[in-house]
Amino acid sequence: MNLKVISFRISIVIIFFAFWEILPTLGILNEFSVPKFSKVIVRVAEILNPYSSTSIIPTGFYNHLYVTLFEIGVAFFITLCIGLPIGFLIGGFRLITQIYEPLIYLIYAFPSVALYPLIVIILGFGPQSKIVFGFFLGLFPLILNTIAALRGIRPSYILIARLFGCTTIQLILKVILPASVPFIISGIRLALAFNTIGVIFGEMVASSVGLGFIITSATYKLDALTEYAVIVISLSVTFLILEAISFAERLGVRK
Amino acid sequence: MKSDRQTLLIWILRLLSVIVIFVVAELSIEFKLLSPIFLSKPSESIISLFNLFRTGIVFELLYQTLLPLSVAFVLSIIIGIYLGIIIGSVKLLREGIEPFVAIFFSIPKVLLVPIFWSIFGFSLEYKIAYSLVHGLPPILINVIAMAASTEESHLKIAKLYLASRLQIYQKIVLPAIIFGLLASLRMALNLCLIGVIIAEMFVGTTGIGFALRQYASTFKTSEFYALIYLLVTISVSVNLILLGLEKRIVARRVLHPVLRV
Repeated sequence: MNLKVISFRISIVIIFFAFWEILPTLGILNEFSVPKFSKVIVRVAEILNPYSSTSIIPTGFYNHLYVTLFEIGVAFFITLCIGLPIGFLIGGFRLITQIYEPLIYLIYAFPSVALYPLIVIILGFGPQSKIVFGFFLGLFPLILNTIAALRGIRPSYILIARLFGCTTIQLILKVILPASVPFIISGIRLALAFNTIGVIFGEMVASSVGLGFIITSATYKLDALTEYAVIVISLSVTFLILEAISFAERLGVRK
Repeated sequence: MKSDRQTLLIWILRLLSVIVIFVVAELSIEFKLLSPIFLSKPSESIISLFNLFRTGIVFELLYQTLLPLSVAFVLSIIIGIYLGIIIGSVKLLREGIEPFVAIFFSIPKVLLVPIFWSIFGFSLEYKIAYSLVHGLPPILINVIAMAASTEESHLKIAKLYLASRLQIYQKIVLPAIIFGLLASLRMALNLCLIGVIIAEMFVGTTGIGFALRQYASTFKTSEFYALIYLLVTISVSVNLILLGLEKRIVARRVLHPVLRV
């Protein structure tokens, strides 16, 4: 990567923020719907500062952040605990793969957000509905990637392992698991991304705590500054989470 | 003949497992294992789907949802092709912009809903714009990658034969990106549908998303599931059609594994 590309990227970012600053200033965009970038950044700093955040968000910004992160974490954990075994179970047997993979693919393609209103009715406005919905969104990409990982293992690996007389347990631990790890990790990243979407969507539609809740409540109060500030913060948080997993992925592949 | 019998077996088992799910749902309501608020009997839902069709409500909802969906889908294809070719064929542009497109593809776009509704209001444009934001990135990523990997030798030969810039784009770059485009169509359409449903669920009084929210919060569970069945039918049939198209055309050529889902 050379200097030219880097400076080009930086200039794109600068142009983006400059437009964000200039368009509301000139009145092309209404400042009540799109506030100036400089004001939003000041508000972000105010919210992130624990001493001044309670004057903007009465219950304290960090409590909301912790709730959201907790929900994402639990949803992610449940997705891993249930998705990986199901994926291995389906992917391990050729017949079951052939029967169920297209069905799971179709469920994955279905716009699952349509189910959320009913999940709220069943599980209530608390964190349970967000966790379950996040889990539901993340489950299918993980299963599909695990199946694909198991299918991608070369038959020659298994043949050679069998020739050297290894048992089934050895085959799974020493050959199948290591060979399928890269694909499964990218499935885990997809699952985490979908968990995050599910949890934040749930908070935005119906909830009383969490980042998504602050955004919608600020919008309903026509407090565009807080709305944009929290959107910026949430985007950065999710970006950091996804980058962390990508980093882990690269580390794992290098090994 | 063995493979024929095997595919038949697979289809039978597949259908059986779907039927079993429906029968279990039906029986668990029948014997009061689950509250009918949470899960309605499939038989009842199908009856209420027929009722929705008879009263004509469904046609209105379908129109309100499918119009922005199709507009957004077509727009994302057109914009995706033009922008993708421009970005993909200039090396500096590609290297500079590609990571931003990838980032935009992966962030949860639910967070952006309030921005869209405060800019566009509760109008049709709001649904179209929000759906476009979902559908454009996958197409853009694939088209950029395919336009960038147009074979050098083809371009050189075209230049040797004094082809004009327009001719080069028409005859060489466009055919090269077609496969990347096809590979991303299905994903783009699915994401567009998600975008429209999310947009409708948040604000406004039109479309399937709004109706779903309404039916759920008024405990009309059988109508809710009727609409879900309708959505499943739409999504499954569209996916199968596009999948068939993909298999038919893409199978002739080795695709770059750009977007693997």
